Amino acid sequence: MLNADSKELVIQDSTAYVPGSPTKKITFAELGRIAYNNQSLLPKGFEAGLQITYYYTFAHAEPFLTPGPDRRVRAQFTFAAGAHAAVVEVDKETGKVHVLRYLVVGDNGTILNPKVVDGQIYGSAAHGISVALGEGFVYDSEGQLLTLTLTDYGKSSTLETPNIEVVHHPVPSHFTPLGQKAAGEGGAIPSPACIASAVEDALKPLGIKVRELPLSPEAVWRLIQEANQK
Amino acid sequence: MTPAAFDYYAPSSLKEALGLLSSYKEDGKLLAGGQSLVPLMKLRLARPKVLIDLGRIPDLNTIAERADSIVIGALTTHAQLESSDLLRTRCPLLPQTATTIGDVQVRNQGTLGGSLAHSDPAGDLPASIMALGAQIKAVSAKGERWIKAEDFFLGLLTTALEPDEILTQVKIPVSNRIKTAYLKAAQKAAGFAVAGVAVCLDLAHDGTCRDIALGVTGVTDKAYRAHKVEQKLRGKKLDSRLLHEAAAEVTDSIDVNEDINGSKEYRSHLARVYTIRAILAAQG
Repeated sequence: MLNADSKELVIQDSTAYVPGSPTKKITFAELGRIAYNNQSLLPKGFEAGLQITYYYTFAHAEPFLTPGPDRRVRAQFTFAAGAHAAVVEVDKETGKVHVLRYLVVGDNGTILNPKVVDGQIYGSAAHGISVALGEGFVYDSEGQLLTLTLTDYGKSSTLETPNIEVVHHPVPSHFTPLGQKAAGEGGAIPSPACIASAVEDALKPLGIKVRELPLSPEAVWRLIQEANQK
Repeated sequence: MTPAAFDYYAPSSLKEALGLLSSYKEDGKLLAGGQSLVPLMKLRLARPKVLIDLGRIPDLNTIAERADSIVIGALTTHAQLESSDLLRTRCPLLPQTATTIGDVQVRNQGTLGGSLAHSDPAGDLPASIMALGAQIKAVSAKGERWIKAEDFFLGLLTTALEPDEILTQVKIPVSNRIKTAYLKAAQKAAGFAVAGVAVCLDLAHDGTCRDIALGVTGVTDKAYRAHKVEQKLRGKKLDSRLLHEAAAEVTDSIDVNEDINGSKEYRSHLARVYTIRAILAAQG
């Protein structure tokens, strides 16, 4: 379009130009307008639009789920880390657990889109808390699944999900181009253990150890009953 | 899922509805708020051939004050019970109960009459209606009769209503002396009662229990009055020891339900805990 060789072009300040030729100059905005709206001005043989697709191959990628010589499986290219803390209250008569406060410190490396990262942490922590407090497949003695619908499955709603307080402590990754890490796992994986530990702590005077999830009200009530009988 | 095919009628008068009901009998099913019937139809656990929608019959959703009672139309929604100033001052148990039902959408659609006629073993209103000693009006083409709440619930989804009868009104005796509460251990997703207790308490100035009525739901195949507990408390001062002793009998000679929300043992325990908590809440 500028009748210039691509080697002559300098790209600077959202503009492409040939140094020393004031007429051989076009802004990105103008280029975009032509590429999409005025294709007759494009050189012959050029397709309309300005799109490019690039596939990045992670330098440390290995086939999924195939153990290496060290017998480890690299299922993910990058990881998130998170530290969780919970304050819970246990109704000692009914076994019902109330989460009073829930905090997450997340290490998601360089954060590219804070809203997306926060959303991942909220969502995955909420799932983990729900797993701890009620979710599960229940079968009867005949092997019949009893939790067929979401009504029975024990999923927490927004009513049972505590406000999740997030603090970011990003340590950039050495293995990714921008230092970014994953986000979901740091929320989901620690939360069931965190809730279980908090319930154990609340029931410390009874010496209760939590060895099984979910901590449904009846499950917690049974733990208390067993401890009281000892 | 979608329901099986059915014919739909929307009569504009009670007389017309009774006519339809007497011609279709067991094939006809009455539709009020649809919060129990429609889900059952969608699962095809209910396949009525004919639906008779009561929603266009006038005057079935009014709350009226009489000298010593309140008369509530069968189509009064849970939301109406919740927000009625008359009920809040003269019969607070119904707003206290209605506010715990399902969610806002369910309370906007579901009705008092529908809840009672459905006789869900985990329904909230049956417990309160029992505790209040209400009477339920059943109308058929042949005439009308009043059924005591205690004689109304016969079993799982079964009531004393005949196939040609429509529940039109509920009459509740009221007294300013009565203190009330409804508390339940609620199922997580739907909020229905795993064990729920409604209490009407008449306390003398010195704290003696003049009279008490306890309605229990969620525990067995229907709501019931806990007469044994009531007898232990009448005429006595309600101290903690007595409450525990009396509440221990709340599931005596009751065949307690067992499901994923609670074993027999845990449900019985919840019934005892919530009996005590409801009485303490009514005392204030």
